[in-house]
Amino acid sequence: MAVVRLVGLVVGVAAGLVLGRTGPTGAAAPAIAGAVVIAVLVSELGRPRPERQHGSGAALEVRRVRDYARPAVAWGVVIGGLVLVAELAWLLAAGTWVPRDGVGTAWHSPGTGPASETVELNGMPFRYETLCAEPTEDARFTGRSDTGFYLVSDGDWGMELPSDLVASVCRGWVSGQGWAEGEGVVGAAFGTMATAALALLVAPLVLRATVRAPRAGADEQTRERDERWRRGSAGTVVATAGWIVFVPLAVWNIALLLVEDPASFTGPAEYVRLAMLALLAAAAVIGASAHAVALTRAPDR
Amino acid sequence: MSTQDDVPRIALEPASTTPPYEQVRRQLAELIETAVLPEGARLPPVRQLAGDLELAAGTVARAYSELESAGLVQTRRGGGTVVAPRRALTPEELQARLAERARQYVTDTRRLGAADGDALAAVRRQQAASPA
Repeated sequence: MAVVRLVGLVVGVAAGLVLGRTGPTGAAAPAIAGAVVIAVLVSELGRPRPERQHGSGAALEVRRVRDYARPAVAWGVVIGGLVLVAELAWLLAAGTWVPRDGVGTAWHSPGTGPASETVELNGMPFRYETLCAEPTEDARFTGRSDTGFYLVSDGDWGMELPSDLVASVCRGWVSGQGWAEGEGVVGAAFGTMATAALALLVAPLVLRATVRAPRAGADEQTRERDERWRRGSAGTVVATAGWIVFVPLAVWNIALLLVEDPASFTGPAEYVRLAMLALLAAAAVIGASAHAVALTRAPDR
Repeated sequence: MSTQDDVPRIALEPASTTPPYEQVRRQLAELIETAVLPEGARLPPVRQLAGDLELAAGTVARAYSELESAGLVQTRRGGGTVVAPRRALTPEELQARLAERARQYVTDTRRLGAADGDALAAVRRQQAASPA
């Protein structure tokens, strides 16, 4: 059964990486999650619950999730998931969505309008117009495009966005892929956020159902088998959620690291940012590895 | 997590004419009144106990509800059901409980074939042997 899970991990990561490069990038994180969930479900079929003995009574015990899933590990998954969602939400919040065939969200920027020009941005034609009749330092530009796209500051345009990090990430990672709707970094970010959020919502419910499932029986031997099954299943749920959270967290932060260019750094804040990214990436790699080991270890019968 | 030995248990008698909710209520009340379940002890969640006993959740919920009405347990929102603080019994309640246990004892000893005098003597010996 460990082999089935290992195959699920490998296939999921391979599919996620291929989808992340070729698109639809929004399916990358769900592919990683879907493959491991399927593998776990298949492997659990080969590890049935101890047969139930009817009419054996009940112990007046309160079975709690924390008795079966190590709190530190479970909280690690929760924190990893929240960091991932927050990081991507911040990334998306820093940009501007410009819808297909229409006038996009306007933003304030120093400009020299009135003017109208078509330029190429990340491989897509992009037309902008100043809306002010007179040159001003606060002219409004509005993007127009044949397809929807997501726009973040790249510095050259002087748009007011909160972070150079966001700009460098998006420029670097999706360069050449365009900003087509549902594609590129935005699709990947939404897909990752939705997958991580779903994992964080569903895993506690599955854990609770596992822990509170009826006891198989009252005698010592059956109870021991029941405990092993319950503990193994709870560990599998946490490890599955951990894998779903930490693999994308590692991939995102490694991608962010790769587009950084220390040669262009102008101050210590950029080095701090680089160090934080490296720390997050390393923590995520360690977390993903630990959960992979937990998933592929032969479960107790 | 508790071990098998230190956790009180309850079991249902399938052949009994007593309804399942009453069997649950009676056994829990007995465990509470004899302090096997001490004040503040948490009872299993309704669904968990119902699943273990192979009963409908409503059956266990009814037993818990009656225990709560009798002041034996308290249900706190988000805190589960816990054994309520023990209160002193009124003289009438004490007499009723003694009568109930005496009735059970008499029934048991007669089933064993013991003479009433021997049964009473056994009680006296036990009282003498057990410090108050």
